[in-house]
Amino acid sequence: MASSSQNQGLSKYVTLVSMDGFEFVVLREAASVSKAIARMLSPTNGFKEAQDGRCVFGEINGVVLEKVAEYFYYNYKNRNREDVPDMEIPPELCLELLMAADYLDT
Amino acid sequence: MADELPLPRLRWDPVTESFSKNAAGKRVRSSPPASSDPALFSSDDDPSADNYTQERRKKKFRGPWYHQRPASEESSQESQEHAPEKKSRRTFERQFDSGVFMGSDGTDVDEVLEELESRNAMALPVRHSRGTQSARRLPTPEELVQGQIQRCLEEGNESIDLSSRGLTTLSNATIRQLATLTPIPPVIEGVFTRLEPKIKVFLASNDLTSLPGELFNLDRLTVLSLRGNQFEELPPGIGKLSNLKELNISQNSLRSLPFEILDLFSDTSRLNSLNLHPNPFYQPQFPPDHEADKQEEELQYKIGLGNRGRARHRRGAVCSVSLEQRRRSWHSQWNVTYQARTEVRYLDINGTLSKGPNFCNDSSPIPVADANDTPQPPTSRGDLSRAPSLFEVALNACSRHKDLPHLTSWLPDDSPEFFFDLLRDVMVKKDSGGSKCTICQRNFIQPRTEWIEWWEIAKVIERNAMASAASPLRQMENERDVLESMVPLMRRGCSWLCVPEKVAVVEDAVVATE
Ligand SMILES: [Zn+2]
Repeated sequence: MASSSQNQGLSKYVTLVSMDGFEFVVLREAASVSKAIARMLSPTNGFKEAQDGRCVFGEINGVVLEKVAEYFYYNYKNRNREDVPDMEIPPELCLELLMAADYLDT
Repeated sequence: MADELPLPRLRWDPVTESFSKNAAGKRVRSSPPASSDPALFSSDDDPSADNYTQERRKKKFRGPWYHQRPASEESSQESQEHAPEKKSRRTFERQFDSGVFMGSDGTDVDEVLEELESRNAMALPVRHSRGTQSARRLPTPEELVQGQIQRCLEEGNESIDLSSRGLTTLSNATIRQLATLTPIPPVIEGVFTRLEPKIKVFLASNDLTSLPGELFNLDRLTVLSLRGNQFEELPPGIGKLSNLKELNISQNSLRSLPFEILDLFSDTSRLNSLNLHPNPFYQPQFPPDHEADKQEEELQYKIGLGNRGRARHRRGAVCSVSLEQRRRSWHSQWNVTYQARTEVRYLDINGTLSKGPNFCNDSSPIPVADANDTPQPPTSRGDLSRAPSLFEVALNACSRHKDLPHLTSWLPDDSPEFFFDLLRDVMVKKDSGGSKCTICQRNFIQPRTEWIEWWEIAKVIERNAMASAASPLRQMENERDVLESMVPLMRRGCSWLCVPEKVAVVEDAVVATE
């Protein structure tokens, strides 16, 4: 996925923007584990996000989006491992992250 | 009648196992762990003469006096305990500090303790005088059962018969009581003998749909009857009951059994008697050329010919042997043999089917996979990972949340019904002991793969038990033989990489015939 996007001159990094204006710059390949983000960023779908590499999430706040970005790296780092460590998240974020995960399809 | 025990009002703290008059702002000292069984004592507290006009039984109490609570206090305490549940629906907001509980930091300790108390409603049995009891609401079936268990504990009775009690739920707190059961040792010529308890639990003819995980931690459980309930699945924890001698799960709505139940047939287990049928188990559908054999078998079964002379393996010339079967050592009393499996169902993060067969709810049989079948995930191999989804990570955090039972009240009002159902499922799964991937052993909440394996689970028939071939006993064994040759076991995996191993295909032209 990453190699094909690089071939088309797309940036290696994308920016995720929360509803309260926080921005997180993450590796495009890592963020693409989210099927929703992959769809947004796919050049073939012709969304605006694909051009400027910027995804704005009007329903996810900064604290939650930071954990989402952290998950992207956790998943990316462990993608080829046989025994994957657990990722800890603070209990008070569990419901919001659950809904964010459902929305991002990841 | 007066209160049975006019005692000062103390609050029992189940966390520190100690009492405090008022926990707020105070560090509670925890009492040292009990080194001996709780003392038994009787009450002679009210010596007035009118108590002796009729025959009077001495009340016995287990444990120290300060564990006992007077009846009138109980009712007032109960109204307090239920108060926190009536709290109005909270709006969804982040609670940054709600995950941390400091025993010493004061103000909201009382509320937390009360919530804890109301959740482990393991209320010590308080005998009520008739007068106060009639004024109260009727006890629930579970409360009655708790009282009964307490009587068994007092009498050292190892046989806990909770059959036909109208039970729809059974909590972990209720079953946890049983872990303290110690049989009363028989006195033989003045010598006490120490006994290991052999707990028997009969839950037959209730309306149970799930079981508390604590039941599977009762390692002295030897007999378990779940006959005639509403179970559609059994928790995987049932495989942990390594001292189980008798298991009856007949007359339920079971379509399959958990794969973990195979642990009950390992060479270290004790299982001696197993009643599986009747249950609406999933039936395998073999490819057409095997169908003829199967129909023949069914015909034989119907006319009661049994399996005399029938071929042991009916997979044509090819017989598949599961590696799992070879890796384990089975109890010599049981014939445990892998037969066939379905194709793999690949599930999305939220449990919807992405690829694979439907396990429908009617009684139609499910096609078995080819012996050479290699599971193909819905996406390309390169995208696969054993890392849990963010959805699973979040579900896990919900499951560990100290306020899981009330999490649904924090969902926004316009959340899809799906989330409410999901959180209720999480709670049921947690209460029944959770589940582990049957391939990589990782704990999971939402399975990502599942398939059914059919195994033969049959008791090896003792030769001398069948003195006469014409006896009814012989025919009964044969019927069971046919039924138990295809027991469906549900296997679940935690990632799309957790799929069945390739079976070793043995070119086996020699079929063993009896
Ligand atoms: Zn796994």
